[in-house]
Amino acid sequence: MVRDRSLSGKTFTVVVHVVMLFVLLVTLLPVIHVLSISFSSAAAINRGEVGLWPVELSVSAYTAIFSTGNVPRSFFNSVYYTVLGTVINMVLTTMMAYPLSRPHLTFRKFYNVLILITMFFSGGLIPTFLTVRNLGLYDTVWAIVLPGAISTWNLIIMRTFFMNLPVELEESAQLDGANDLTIFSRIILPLSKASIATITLFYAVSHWNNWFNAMIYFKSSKSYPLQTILRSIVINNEMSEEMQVDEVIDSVSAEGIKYSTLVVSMVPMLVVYPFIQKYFVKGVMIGSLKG
Amino acid sequence: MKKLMSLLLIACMLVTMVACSGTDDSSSQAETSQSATSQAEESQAETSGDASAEDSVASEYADTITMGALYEVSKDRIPDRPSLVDDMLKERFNVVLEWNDIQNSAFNDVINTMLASEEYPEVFWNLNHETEVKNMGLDGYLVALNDYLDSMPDYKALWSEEDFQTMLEFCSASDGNLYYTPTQNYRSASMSWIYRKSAFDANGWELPTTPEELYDLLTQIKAADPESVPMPTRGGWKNAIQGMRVAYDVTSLESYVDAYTGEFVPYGYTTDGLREALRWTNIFYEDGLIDPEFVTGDDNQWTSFYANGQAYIEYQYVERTVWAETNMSPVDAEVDWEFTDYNVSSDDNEGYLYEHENTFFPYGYSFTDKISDEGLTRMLDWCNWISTDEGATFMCMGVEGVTYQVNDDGTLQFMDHMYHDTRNPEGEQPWKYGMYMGILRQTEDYTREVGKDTNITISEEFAADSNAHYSPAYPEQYTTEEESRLAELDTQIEDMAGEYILRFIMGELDVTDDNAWNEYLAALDNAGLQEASEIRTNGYNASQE
Repeated sequence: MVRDRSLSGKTFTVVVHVVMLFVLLVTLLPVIHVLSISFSSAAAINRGEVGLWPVELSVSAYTAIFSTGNVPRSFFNSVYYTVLGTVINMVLTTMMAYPLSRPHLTFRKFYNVLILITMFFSGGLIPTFLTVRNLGLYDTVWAIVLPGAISTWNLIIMRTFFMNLPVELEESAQLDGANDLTIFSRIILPLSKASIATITLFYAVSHWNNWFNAMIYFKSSKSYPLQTILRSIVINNEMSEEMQVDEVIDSVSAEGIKYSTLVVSMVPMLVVYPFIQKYFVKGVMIGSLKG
Repeated sequence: MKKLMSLLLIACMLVTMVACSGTDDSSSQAETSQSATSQAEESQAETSGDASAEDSVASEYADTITMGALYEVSKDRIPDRPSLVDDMLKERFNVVLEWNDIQNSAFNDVINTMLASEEYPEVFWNLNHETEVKNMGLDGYLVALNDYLDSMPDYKALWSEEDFQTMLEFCSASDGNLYYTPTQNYRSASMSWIYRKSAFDANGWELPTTPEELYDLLTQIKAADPESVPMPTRGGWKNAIQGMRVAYDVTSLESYVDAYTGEFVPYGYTTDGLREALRWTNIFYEDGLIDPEFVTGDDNQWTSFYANGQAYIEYQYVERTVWAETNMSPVDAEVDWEFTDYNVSSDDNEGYLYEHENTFFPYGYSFTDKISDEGLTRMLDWCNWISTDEGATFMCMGVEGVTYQVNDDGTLQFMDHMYHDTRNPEGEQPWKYGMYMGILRQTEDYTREVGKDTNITISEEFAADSNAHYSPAYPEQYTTEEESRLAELDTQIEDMAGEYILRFIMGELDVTDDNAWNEYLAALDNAGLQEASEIRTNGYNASQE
C-alpha cells in the first residue's frame, strides 16, 4: 500500500484516527465501567462512587453468583448449546452450500429460490412452537439447536465463497481419482478456513446470545442458558415496591450481581475473538467482491 | 457428480429428520445441568431426606398422581429440586409435580404461546398476574373454584365470614367466578414516615405532624447538612407526591371513597387535596429538599442517598427501615432508622389518613381445565393444609432441624445456615428449599425472621389509634367492555396528568394559579376524564347495590 503523504492525506489519516479513537472509547468505557462495578464493594456501588476503576476491591459479587449454582450451571448450558449448535450449523451449512455453489447441480435455481423464500417469510412463533412440539423436540436440547440449524444468510455467504473457488481445482482432483467427498473434505474445506471461521463465529455468537428460545422451549429453568438467566437478573433487578427477603444484603449489591453476571457472559466471546481474528477480517469480505 | 450432490442434500435432510425424531429424553442436557449443581443438590437431598424419614407422613392417597405445574421465576430464584415442598407433596398427598418454570419477565409471551399450543400444565403455582388469571378463567382455561371452597375449611378460616365474602367480591372475575386462591394478607398497613432517629435525637429535631412542620424540619436538616437530600423519593412524580397526597387525604389518584365524608371520588387527580400536595412538592423541589432529579431518578440513585448518609425522612414502607440502616451503616455506624406511628396530616385536628390494605393479596393457585378430578381434590387439599398452622409453618419456615429450630420460648427461628438480616445476611434463602413461593398465609415467626414484623406493628398501631382514618375499599364492578375502555382512558388520563403534574412540581406552571389549574382540568377532560368518571361511578354504584 502506498502511503499518501500529502497534506490532505495526512489530515484524512488524523481524522480517521480521531474518529476511531472516539469509537474505541465509546465501546470500551462501558465495558471498563461494568468490570469496575463487578469488582467493587456493595457499599461503594450504592454510594455511586464507582467510575472506571474498582472502589474497595471486592469479589463478593462473583462469590455470590457462583455460590447460587444457577450462573455456573447456565454457563455450562450455554457452552453446551453453543458448541453443539455451532457444530450442527457448520456441518449442515457447508454441506448444503457446496452443492448449491456448483453450476451443474440439477434444479439448482429451484433450490436457491426455495431457500431464499425462508429469508423473507417465517412461520411465526406459535406455528414454530407447534412444529417443535409435534416433532417431539419440546423440552429437549434439539429444540434449541435444530430449528435454526441452517441460517439462510450464512448459507448464501458460504455458497458465494465456494462459487469463487476455481472449478479447475475440482477437475484436477478428479483426474487424480478423488471422489466428491474427498474433494469437499480435502480441497474445498481447507481452502475455506477464513469463511468457515467467520461463519462459525456468526453462529457461535448467535447461539451464545440466544435467550428467547430457551425460555419458550424448556420446562425447567435448570436448562436455561446464561443469557436467559442474565436477562432475568437485569430486567428484574429493580427493587420491588416492598422489600424482598433477600434485598438486605450488606456485602453484595444488586448492581454488583448484575454486572458480574454480565462479565461472565462476555468473557467466552472475548476469549474466542483473538484466535479467529486473522480469519475474520478476510472472512467478512466474502461476497463483497465478485470475480 | 450430480448424483453425489443430490446425495449430499438428501443426507442433510436425513440428518435433520433423524435428529428431529428424538424423544423427550433430555438426559444429555440434564447431565450437563446436573454436573454443576449435583453436589449442592445431593447435600440438600440428603438433609431433606433425613428429615422426611424422621417426620414421615403417610399419605392417605394410595396412587401417585403426576401433574405439570407452572412455576413463576423471579430473578434467578429457582428452588433446588426436589425441594422440601416436592417431598411434602409426595409424602402427604402422593402428588408429583413436574415443574415448568416461566420467567416472570416474559410471562405474557410464554403463557400466550402455551395457551395457543395447548401446552399448558394442570397447576399454576402462585401466579401473581390477577388480570391475566381472570382473563384465562373467562376464556375457559381455568377451573372455577367457587363450588370447592367449602371443601377447604382451614383456607376459609383465614378470614372472618364477612371478610371472606368481601374477598370473593374483590377477587372474582366479571362472570362471578373465582379462578384462583387469594392469599391472606397478614397486615392492614405497611407505610408511614421512616426517619433517621439517630440524627433526630442528636440534633433535637421534632417529628412533623403537618406539612408546615415537615417543611420547617426539612429546612432545618438542609441547613445542618447542606449536602443532604432531606426527603429523598424513589424516582418519578408519583413517589415524589405520595407523602403529601396522603397528608391531604387523597387516598388514590384514581377512584376512592373519602375517608371522612364517605363520598365517592371518581379521580383523585382533580381534587383540591392533590392541588395542595402539588403546591408543597413544588416548594420542596424549589428549596432543594427532595431529589432534584426525581423525574429520572432510579433505584440506584435513591439507594445512593441512603448509602451516602444524605437521607433523613421519607414516606415509605416501614420495613425499609432495616434496608435504610444496612445501606447507611458504612458511613454512619450508629445510624438508627425508625418509623412513625402516624402520618403527616393537613388537618391535625381531624386525625390522619393511612393507606389501608385489603385482607388478601390477589394471587394464589389456579388449576387448568386439564386437571383431573382427583388431581384437583388433592391440590385443594394441599391449599387447605398450607392454611393450617402446621402447613403454613412448613411453607414459611420449612422443616425443623433442616431449616429452622425451636427456641426455648417456643418461637421458631431459622437455623444458622439460613438467611437472616443480622445473623447471616448471606445465608440460604427460603425459596431455595421451595418454601415461601406458594404460601397462602405467613406465620408470625416468618414475618419476624425476615424483618417484616414492622408491618404488623404499624398495622396494630393504626388500628388502635382513633385518629387514624382510611378509605373503605369497595369491589369495582365493571363489564368486560367497561374494563377495556377504562384501561384505555386511564392510560390517556395518567399520561396527561403526569405531564401537567411535572410542570407544576418543577415550577413551569403555578399550581396556585386558577387559570393553570383549570387548564390542567380541561386537559384531563380532553383525555376522557368525564367518560372515565362515569364508568367508575357506575362501577362504584353497582358495588353498593
